[in-house]
Amino acid sequence: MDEKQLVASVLSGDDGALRILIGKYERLVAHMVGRVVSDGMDREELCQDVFVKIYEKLSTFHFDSKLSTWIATIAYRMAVNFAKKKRLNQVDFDSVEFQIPDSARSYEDEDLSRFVVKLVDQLPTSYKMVLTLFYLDGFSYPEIVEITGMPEGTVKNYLHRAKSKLKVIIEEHARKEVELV
Amino acid sequence: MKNFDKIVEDGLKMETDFKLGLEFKDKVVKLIRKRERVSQRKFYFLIVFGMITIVGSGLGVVLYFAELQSFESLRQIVPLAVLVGSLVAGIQYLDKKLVKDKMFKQLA
Repeated sequence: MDEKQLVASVLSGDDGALRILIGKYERLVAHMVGRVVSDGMDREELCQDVFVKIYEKLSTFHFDSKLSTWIATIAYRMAVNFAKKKRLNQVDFDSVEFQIPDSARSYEDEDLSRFVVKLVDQLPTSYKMVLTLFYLDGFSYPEIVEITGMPEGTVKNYLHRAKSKLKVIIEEHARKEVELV
Repeated sequence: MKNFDKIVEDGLKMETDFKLGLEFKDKVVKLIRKRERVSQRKFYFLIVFGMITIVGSGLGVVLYFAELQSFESLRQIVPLAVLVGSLVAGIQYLDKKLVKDKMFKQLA
């Protein structure tokens, strides 16, 4: 079933098609929401609300963009609004004070990669979202621009700054570990 | 020598811990259908309410004119004008709140 048929079936009231649509995009929505909201209950509730909104607005979607981009746009807006409402990660990038967890006291590459995930969680919401859309969901720059409404220069800048900052912290951390050993 | 660029990229590509359960799809479908039923009930209620209001107003007008002997005094028509004006304003308000606002939100 292609996406146009899927959307048509969902709009005609087919529960099976609706389940397929949710199954296909729940990973994307979970990424967006999971990066912003830490509380388990709030996360699942927000994911539900995102899919309810997608269903309510589906009749206004005319395939001017990819369905995944349109769904990501809704998830992005709802996650960002939720974060604003609950005042989550409302910090400036330069003033983030990274908390270094003890569990990262290892210099195995895999542990360092997990350590990166913990650091990403501490970034401002907009940075987390751009990183998630680019690296985890594989969206291109123009698609991220469409989803977030940010200029392409800002998207590239966020990716570059966040990556450089994470690299510096990881390098410092690994160097300290070597010194300790 | 570690490749820190690769370590950072691997970390950024790592799946989040948060996963939606197997029953998530069913929960969402149930929630959507429940909300649809509620909004359908609201819609029917408003239709019935509107019909009763129209019939009631019509009856009111008929009774009002039945008691009126003549149009000699314009002052006698003032309460009717107020009633009709209030009804029109009420209908306009409900139309804006229930129909137009929703339409504009969907178009935005």
